[in-house]
Amino acid sequence: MSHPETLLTVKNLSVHYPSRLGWFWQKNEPKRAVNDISFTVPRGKTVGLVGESGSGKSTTGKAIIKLSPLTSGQIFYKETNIGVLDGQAFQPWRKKIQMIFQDPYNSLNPRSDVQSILSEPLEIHFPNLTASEREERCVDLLKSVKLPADYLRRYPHEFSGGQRQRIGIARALAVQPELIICDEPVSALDVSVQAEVVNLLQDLQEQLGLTYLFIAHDLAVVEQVSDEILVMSQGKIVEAGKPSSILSRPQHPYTQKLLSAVPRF
Amino acid sequence: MTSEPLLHVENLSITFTSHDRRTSAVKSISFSVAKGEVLAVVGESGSGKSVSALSLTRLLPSPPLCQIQGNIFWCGKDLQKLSEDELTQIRGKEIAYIFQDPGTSLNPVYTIGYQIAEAVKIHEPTIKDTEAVVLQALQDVLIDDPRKVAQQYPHELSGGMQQRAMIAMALACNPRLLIADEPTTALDVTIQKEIIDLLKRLRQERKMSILLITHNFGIVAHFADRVQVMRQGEIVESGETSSVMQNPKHPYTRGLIACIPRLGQRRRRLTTLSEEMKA
Repeated sequence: MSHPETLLTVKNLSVHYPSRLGWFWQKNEPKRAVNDISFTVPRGKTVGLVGESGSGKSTTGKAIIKLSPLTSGQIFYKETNIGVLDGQAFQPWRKKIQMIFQDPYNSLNPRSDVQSILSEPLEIHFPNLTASEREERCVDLLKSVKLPADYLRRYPHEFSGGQRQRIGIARALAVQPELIICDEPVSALDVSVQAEVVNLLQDLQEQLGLTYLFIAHDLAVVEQVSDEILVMSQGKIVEAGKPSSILSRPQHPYTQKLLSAVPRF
Repeated sequence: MTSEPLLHVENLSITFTSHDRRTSAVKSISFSVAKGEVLAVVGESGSGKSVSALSLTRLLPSPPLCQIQGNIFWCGKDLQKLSEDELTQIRGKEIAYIFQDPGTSLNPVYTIGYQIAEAVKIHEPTIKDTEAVVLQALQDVLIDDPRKVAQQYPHELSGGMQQRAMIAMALACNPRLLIADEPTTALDVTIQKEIIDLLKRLRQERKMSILLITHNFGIVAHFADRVQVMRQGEIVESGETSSVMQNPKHPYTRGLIACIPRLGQRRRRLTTLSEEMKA
């Protein structure tokens, strides 16, 4: 097989937050959440981003879709530098890049039923669809995440954690994205549900040719889904490579420490 | 086996009532914890593992909201029959708790030292020098600078340090049983390892029993003497940790262990629970 096309290129990305401690005449060092990191994500593959809390992994994911402010660096989607686009100019890329969040309890609007949750992105990105076409799409979306069609009229509180995460995935799929940023998508779920959602994400990747940036703290889950793993610590990528080589021969002391802390049985 | 278990629970049932709907959270379970033993209770959310631990010292809402049936024997005494005052002598003193989220279990407006001292004053009123006890308690959980931490407020500490402070508070009165309800679930793996190693050490030193509630089989394998697996309010399997982990008898236990992705054992697809095994 030929070399896969590079979908996303992150170059020297930094995200610094101003520190709010101290008085106004005191100069504060900014919090360097993400500090000069570079990586690429090939089309159709999964790049796993692991690290502990505060390592900057979620900030990295958010910076790509402009949920975090960019301090410096460039983000290329194929050839386009999307890092410099803002507002309306970024809109077409919001359709190509979607995000799935950790907490299925807080990321769905409790006042909307499933149909309106799934229709909203369609109304924005596919304004030409008629109401009946939209409904048809919503049914298809539920089917693709293996939920029954009659769930359309239900509200988020009626679902279990795993079902809500499926709805979150369906919403991300609604606009037919190419790249999905999965921010701790299975961390809040029970192990049996976690296994189902991981399998679903992998099935969808095969069917639809999706590309994932998979952010998680659980090394075993990241190993399961990733073609390449990036290990982050204190805003930096300390190690990158194939899952098998990172797990069997970790080079960086931080990766070694992380691996030795995982209880095995 | 020792002659009399420290804690013995017989046919414990817990039912919640709200808006005329009755939910049976725990269905007639029996178990015991021996002196110096670590018993792990494993299960998924809603299996009843936390409520059964809370029910032991009446930490659940009172009837009619929540009804508890069955017997809970503590060193031969029936805890259900004790008055509130008598139970206070046991809760926090002989049976102490640590919870999943140290950030919400600590009181944000008092210093760590004040909160530990409070527990000591209630349970050991004869002790004059509570400060020494507080500093010793903080030292016991391997906090480097106990004097400084004692004067700090919960928000000034990291999650791992907060959980240490919680453990220090729980252990300040030398309990005989520590109930640890998902003590490391909210923590990073490296901190999780530190906390588990700390609990292992403290258990050795003090010969105390631990009731460990968790969903993480990895922790169970390295820490617990015995394990019991709960599902929908029932105990489906219990036994020595090594035999349950290596040779699970119940299909649910087998299924649950098979679901867990393991480091260095990448599979094409993860195993999932079959429909009838699901909660």
